Amino acid sequence: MLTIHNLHAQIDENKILNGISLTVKPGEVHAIMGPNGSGKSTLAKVISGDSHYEVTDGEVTLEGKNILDMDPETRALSGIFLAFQYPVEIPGVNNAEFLRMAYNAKQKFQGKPEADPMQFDAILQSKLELVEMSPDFADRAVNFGFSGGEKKRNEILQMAVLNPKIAILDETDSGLDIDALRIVAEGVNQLRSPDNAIILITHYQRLLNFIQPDFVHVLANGQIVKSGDKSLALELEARGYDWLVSPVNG
Amino acid sequence: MMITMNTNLPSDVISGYDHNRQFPAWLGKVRQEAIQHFHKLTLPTKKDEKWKYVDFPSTLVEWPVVEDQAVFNETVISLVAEKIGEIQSESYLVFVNGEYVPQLSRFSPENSRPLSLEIPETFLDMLHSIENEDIFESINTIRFTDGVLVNVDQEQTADLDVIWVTVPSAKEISFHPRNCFKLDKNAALNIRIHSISTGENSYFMNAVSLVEVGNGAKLNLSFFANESDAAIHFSKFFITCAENAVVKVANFNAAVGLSRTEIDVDFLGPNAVAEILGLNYLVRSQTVHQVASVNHVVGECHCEQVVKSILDNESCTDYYSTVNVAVGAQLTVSNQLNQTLMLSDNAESYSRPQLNIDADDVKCGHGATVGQLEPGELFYLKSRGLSEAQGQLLLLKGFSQDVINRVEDPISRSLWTQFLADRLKF
Repeated sequence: MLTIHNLHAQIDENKILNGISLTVKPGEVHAIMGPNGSGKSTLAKVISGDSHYEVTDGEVTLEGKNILDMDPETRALSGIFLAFQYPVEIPGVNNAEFLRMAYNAKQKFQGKPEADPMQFDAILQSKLELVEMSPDFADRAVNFGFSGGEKKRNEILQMAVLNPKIAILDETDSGLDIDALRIVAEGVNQLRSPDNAIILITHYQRLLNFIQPDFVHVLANGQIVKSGDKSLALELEARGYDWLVSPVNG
Repeated sequence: MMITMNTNLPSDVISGYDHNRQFPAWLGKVRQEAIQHFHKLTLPTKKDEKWKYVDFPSTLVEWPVVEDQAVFNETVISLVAEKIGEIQSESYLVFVNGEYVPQLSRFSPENSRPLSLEIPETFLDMLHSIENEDIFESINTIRFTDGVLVNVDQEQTADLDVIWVTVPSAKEISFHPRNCFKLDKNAALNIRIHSISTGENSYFMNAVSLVEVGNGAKLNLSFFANESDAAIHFSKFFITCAENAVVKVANFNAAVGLSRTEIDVDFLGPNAVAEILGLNYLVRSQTVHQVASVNHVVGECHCEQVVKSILDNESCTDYYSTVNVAVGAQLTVSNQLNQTLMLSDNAESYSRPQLNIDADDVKCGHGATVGQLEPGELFYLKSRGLSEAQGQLLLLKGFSQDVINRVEDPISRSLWTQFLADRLKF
């Protein structure tokens, strides 16, 4: 479904990704872990099309199509979804209106009928229940004035509405208390299907107690230095990253 | 019929006022005083901070008024009907080229009436002090013919639309409406002033509105400008707030050549609240100046100013606002916020909020931002599948919505929501 091959990327001539290769198949959950500054969030942003980053080599394909040639919106419409580590607050932009526009953009892209406000409201209500969000959130401005947990839940709400093929959750567990973590994780689990795949970027093993990964990868210095199953996450929890990480240029 | 001029000053400035109209004697006296004052005045220059960036033709005060015209044709009737349908108004006064047109108007005479032929002498009490008038106020006092007089009685409520329509003229012309809104104790008034034109004609609208908001009274006043790109529109509002008064003034500019709106608010009684809102959506070579002077004469009053602009191409806005807190006006809260989104490298924005505080127990603040659309916000929207254009328009709408949401009058709010929905289509 998603294939990353020898991906190199930089920002302001600082090399961050140094040849990442990864294959994600439908139905799989991949966890990417690693120390601060290892390139986890950069990988997520490069896949989603953040123009701050320059891809210097490699390719990323979704169902055989090279997404690096696509603008961010086309990647999103094609099925890429990034749950932001720091969701952006957008004052004045109504959450429901934004979500309906995004939903309809995708419907249109797929040649399906667009939803009118009444139809979309019914869709939205069911998704709100999924992440245990009050209907009031639909009428608030996007992430504006939301608590950290509410922002993360709003990301999962968007994921639920847009039903992506590949969802990249960038430290969705950070800043969440245990109840919020459970709600978010349950929402993600309910969205798992044999037709989609999830890439979980996280520092901590605790999220993986709620969302069982099929694979765990350790990213260090812009490269995947080790891959394994869920037991690798437990080992990382016990031993830290030092045993896997060699100094840069060292 | 146009006034023919052979001098640098219009004939009515020299001779007094239009003698063909049956104005009461007291008004003639007022005008004579105004004429004497006028001759002492000069045009404002760049050295005057309030007028620093206002470029207007030096002949502006000489642009003649239209006499005996009552111009209204099918185009005007259709435009007015469209506007009435849009605002669903049940009570409205229509003025064409500055003159009241009863055939197109509908109103309740007990609360409001056109200030044309039957000007009551009580109006004199509301006149701004002539010796303090600047040149444009002075020429309004000298020349005003028609306007709106609204007096809402104690505990009563009124809702009114005022529609100023300007039709093309072969020459530059001017109008000088004088409005008076008086709200007695615990009265409430929603008033919307719409200024529209039927063509791309040059004219000078020079309006002065005197507003008294009594104890516990509540005023919602909205001004909408959707005029000719050749129009010059100066409006001045003098607003006094008594104890517990609530005033909300919203100034919306969609199209006008040069607009200057000056809002003076005087807090004369404690616990009064005022909100001055502005929203400018300018996409051509248009200039809007919003000037405010908020005077906290007494303490324990609250004023919020929020003025936002979206500027494209060679448009320009200038926000000049002064908050004055008098000695002893303790527990004053007064804030100024001016935000501008620049969509073009050629647009200009000037922001000059100022605080003059002579009391020590107050909360006052000012803020100004001028910038472009936030790239991080745009990327966020695009990462959800919205196109660049959709994302930009959604952000513009969101930027404006903050002002619109503050507007209490549902009709005004709906008008601007619809306007933006029409302009910001995807």
